[in-house]
Amino acid sequence: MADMTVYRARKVITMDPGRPFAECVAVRDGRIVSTGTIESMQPWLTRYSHEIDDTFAGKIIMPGFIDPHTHFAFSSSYLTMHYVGPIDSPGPQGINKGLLTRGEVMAKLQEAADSDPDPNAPVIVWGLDPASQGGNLHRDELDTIKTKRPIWVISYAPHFIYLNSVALEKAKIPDNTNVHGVMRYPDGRLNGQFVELEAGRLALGAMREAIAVRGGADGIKRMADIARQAGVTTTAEMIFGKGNFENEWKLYSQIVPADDFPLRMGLVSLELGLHADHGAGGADFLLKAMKRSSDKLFFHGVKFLSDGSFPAMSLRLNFPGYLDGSNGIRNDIPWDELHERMLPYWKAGIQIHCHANGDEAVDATLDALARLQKLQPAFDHRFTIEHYCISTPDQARRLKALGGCASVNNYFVHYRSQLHSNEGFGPDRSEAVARLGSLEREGVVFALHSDYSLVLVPLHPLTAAWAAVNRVALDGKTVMAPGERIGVERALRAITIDAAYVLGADRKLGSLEPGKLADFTILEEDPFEVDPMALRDIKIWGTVLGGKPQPA
Amino acid sequence: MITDRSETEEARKVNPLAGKETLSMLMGIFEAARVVPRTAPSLVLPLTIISGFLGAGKTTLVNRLLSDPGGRRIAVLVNDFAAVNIDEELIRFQSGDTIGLTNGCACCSINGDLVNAIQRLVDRDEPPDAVVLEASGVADPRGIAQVALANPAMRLDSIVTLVDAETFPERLRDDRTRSTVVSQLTAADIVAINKMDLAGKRQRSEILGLIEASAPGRTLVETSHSNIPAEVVLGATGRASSTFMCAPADHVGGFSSTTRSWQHPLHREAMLQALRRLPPYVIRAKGIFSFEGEQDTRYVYQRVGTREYLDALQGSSAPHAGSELVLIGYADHWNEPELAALIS
Ligand SMILES: [Zn+2]
Repeated sequence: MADMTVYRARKVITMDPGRPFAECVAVRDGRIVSTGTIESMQPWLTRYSHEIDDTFAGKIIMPGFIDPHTHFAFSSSYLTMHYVGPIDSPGPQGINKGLLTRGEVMAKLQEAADSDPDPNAPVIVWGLDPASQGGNLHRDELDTIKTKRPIWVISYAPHFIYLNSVALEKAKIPDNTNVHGVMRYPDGRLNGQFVELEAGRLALGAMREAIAVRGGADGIKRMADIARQAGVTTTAEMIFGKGNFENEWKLYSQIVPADDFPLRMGLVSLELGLHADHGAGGADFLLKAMKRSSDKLFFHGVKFLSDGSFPAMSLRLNFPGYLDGSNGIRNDIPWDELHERMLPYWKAGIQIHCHANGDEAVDATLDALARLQKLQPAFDHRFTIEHYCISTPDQARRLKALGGCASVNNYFVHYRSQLHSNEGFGPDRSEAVARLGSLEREGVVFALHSDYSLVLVPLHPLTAAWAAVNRVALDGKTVMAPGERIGVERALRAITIDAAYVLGADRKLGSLEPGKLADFTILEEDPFEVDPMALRDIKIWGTVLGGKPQPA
Repeated sequence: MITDRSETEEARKVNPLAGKETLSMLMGIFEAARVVPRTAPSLVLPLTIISGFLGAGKTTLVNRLLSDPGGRRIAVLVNDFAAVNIDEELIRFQSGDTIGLTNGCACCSINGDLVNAIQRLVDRDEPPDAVVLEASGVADPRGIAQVALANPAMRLDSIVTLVDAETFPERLRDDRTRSTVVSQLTAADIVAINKMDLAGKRQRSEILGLIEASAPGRTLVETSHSNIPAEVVLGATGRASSTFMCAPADHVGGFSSTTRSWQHPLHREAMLQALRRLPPYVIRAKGIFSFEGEQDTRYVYQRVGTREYLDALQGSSAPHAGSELVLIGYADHWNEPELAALIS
């Protein structure tokens, strides 16, 4: 077998601004030896045995895409949850319209059942109001929904749960059960209704089990496949150790290092979890845990939170606040204590990531960073504000002055900004969501991320780049705050080298340079040549991870 | 489509808060699917939920339990979800084992944090003897109860709902608070009425009538300053049942107890039937039983109001024929001969 493989391509985009383009990449032992042309590589090729691989001859090689903020371990169930309630209710995809009749409810149930072809995927529907929507559902009625999938319907107030026959089978309710609230037809047959706590526990226990068997290792592998098909080679789990640190480590360390797992993964530990387990010793514990890291699975940084979520409209805003005069939630640690909790990590040189969605929370986060800088000044600390959805130009300038970075969920520009113009944040802030132009003008390093699967946007870095370049809203034509658009090159940086930077991994990842890990995204078209509006439509052949091709 | 007007009117009556509670409950169950081990639990912890509207005295009760837990190690989970709940500050400085629930990950709500906090308790080298959860003052406690019970290592001991006698009738009349207050009452196994000492005779019977109309058949405890002993809220421990007996029986909020023991195995059905006929002034019953024909197994029995729990006692290796029963109840109506006749 040859020492080196030389991949020839239509074009190699290195994301090394000094040597931006090439024709081939030479790889040895999973790492890059050289980029250039066959001719330019001759000094290597004459010294090492090699083979030339033309699999990508007509394609584009880019550094593997990096999504630096994901949540693969979270159940994706609630993204696929369906709503049948009688009043309008905000959901991840926008406002769920209230349903007025039983007929509409049944049609929605059928639609929910048809939404996933997997016969094992639970159908979880909530919101039924028996008083206004035709009474309680029951098993025989639910069985008229044509599906092999188990169905759980939860009433609008958390009192009733209704199961179809498939779900009842999963719940394994003994026929002779005398648990209060397990309801029956007059002939004694279970009618699928569960009322109040003890009975609800049985029904929801079966639902939890149905979700759990699809979570864990299987769930993470499914999500990794979604990422691979989107051209991603590295993600970072942004809330690690929320439940049990060692159990979660066991799960990841069994899955991620395996040869057939298609991604590298960073694990960013939640400070709340470290604090609960180790008190003031959290930073020391994390430093020790970092010794377990490998190139495929590595501990990186610590995560704090300062406010609520963008789609759930619980982020914190400065004046004039929300349209309805309300405001969102602060998170966990009081804002004026945030820097104290961050200090041990700051001192230990552990990179800090702090969730801040709204401008008031961004201020609080910047205040914490300013206090840290006063207590112990530092360069190259890469303190990163996560999400950075609603911000102001002065905040970008201050972030630069304090030496911080941003990891931005900019998918919302497309998917939600118009919606929140009327609902929640008002027109000004909704239009200017994800101010990437301001960050670029101030010279702040920033990355783009999806937050998948906690919010309902695709995990698809080319879509993030597309949204960054075009800022086209959901109506397909309105450009939201055109002054916050960025160019294609900057957008591609934000899903490769600059994303590696905010993960502290730019020595090894993010660009195609000698010595770096041979992670590529293989595209069918050149993102610099296509119409910027077609960026997200570029076909992705697949990825190469550590020199090993992984077709999508 | 033409919309039937009456239907829209009906739909408008839906309380959007209830929807939020349901969503939050579902988030909690999803989180439980992620963090709760799928193996059978090796222990079962009793859970007591303290419910009641804002200002009803939940924090005072929690503080009392912490300062006088009756020989138990209790862990208290405090819900600081509502911005209006400034009570958490008060609790934070108690010496006991208090865990302030937080919004956890902002994306997945307080209930995600509850799931994690409970799992941490279960995973402890020395788990607590009892878990107390303070529910939000503005919520139906069922949602959070359902989330706590998503962990198979938890057993619901009881829901105790506190009522402020002074403000209760008004809360019940007010459209904005009625449904929450009623849901807290109907969820309760024990309704504890605070400030009854300040109420006159007529007010007292009005309040009792209102509670009976909203949530019939609940076990009622009248008290002031949430002065209810741990034995009533959490049930009896073997050793501590005398600590509250000195409470003057003629005083509102006084409680009595009695203990029975048997050296011979009991007839299972006869005993259970008798316990189901206990008069309403008995708030709690706790027993350790040996039944005829099952000498190798001992059972633990708990009864609160109408909620009943019977299970084989974990880790009871040495066969032991003895049985014991502790009854706790309301001193005002305590009738020792009646109890003696019922449970012999
Ligand atoms: Zn996140």
